[in-house]
Amino acid sequence: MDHSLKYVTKVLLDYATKLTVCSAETRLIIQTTERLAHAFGYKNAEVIVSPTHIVVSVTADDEMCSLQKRVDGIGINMHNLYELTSLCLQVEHGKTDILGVEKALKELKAYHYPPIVMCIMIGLATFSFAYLNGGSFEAAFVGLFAGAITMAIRLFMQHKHLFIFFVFAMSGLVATVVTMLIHLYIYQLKQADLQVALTVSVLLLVPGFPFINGILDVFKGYNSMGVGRLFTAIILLSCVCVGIIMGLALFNREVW
Amino acid sequence: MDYGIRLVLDFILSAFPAVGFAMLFAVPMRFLPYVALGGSIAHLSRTIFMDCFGLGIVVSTFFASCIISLIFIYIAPKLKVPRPVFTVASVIPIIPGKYAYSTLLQIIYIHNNVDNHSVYIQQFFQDGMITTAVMLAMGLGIALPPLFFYRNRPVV
Repeated sequence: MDHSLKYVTKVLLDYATKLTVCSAETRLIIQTTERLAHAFGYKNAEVIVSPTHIVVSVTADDEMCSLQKRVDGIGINMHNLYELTSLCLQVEHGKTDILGVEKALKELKAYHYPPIVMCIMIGLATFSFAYLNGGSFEAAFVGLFAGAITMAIRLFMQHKHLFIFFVFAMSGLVATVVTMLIHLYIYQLKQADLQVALTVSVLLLVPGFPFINGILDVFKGYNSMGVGRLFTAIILLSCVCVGIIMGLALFNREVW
Repeated sequence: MDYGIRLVLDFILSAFPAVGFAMLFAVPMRFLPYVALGGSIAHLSRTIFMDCFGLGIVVSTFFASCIISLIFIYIAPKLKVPRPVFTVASVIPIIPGKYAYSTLLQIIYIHNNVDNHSVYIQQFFQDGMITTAVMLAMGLGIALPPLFFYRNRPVV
């Protein structure tokens, strides 16, 4: 083994951190990083994941190296997750080595679809949600516009790196306000349809990933991570609720 | 409307939320068709379980997410992709949005009608129970099947 133990541990730590940041479940982080260590030729590798820090320890012959790193700003990026796991498979099949892994990790950038495409797709998603939740096509069209506008504003706020809980609360507010404005000034909806439109315009704020990852983690025995993720989901949901209540209160004095 | 047409419309329209959320999660372009199919199957199977078998919304959701989980346990290793890339976006169409929103509205009503709030409290607990149970059923339906298949196997 021609690389120093510290260098190998550092690359493994980088890999595990990148996996955590793109929102992989805990078992995937631990398993994949340990497999990568095996592929590098180190049989004893230990990965510890906590909600805020990651520790990687590698033992070889009679020395041991243990490094830790803080994780901040967990996002969701399945593209990077896919790239990272295929990197592990490449190393296992001998197609690349530790230098290649380090280079790939440095070059790895968060991949996003163009914002316009995302707004249109989320608009169509809210349109379909309105139909699936028993609304008429008028409610669905109002939902389409409200969803697309909310998504645009959410993406803008995320682009400015605002505090994520604030972004969710403000998006809930914007969704409600936009739907109510369309209802009041552009196209009058029936009462039942208005409820459906208000419902679907905030569905794009449901924190699906932290929730399902949390349940997956709890079931596989990583309780601290799982509870952490579930709690994040609950806080995000409460923020959206606060935003919706603020939005409703603007138009209806009886609300609060 | 004819029941068959409704099912077809259901199948087509439930693909959009899945794909929209998949793009939000930055799922690579070439996996989007799988996610669309997953979302459609999830919602259609839940509708069929509810309408034809007379099951409740919670049990139907659980079976629908189990089906999604099983499908991707089969497909994902062939593509050499971890399953969360597909499964999480696929169950998005069966989120109980209507009940969750109603729960929130009931909280507001309880706050406003202090004198006469028993009916709202009742409704709050009913809707809240359904929301929580459906969300848990979704999570469990995704989480349970792999535990039987992946005891000693790596995920990818």
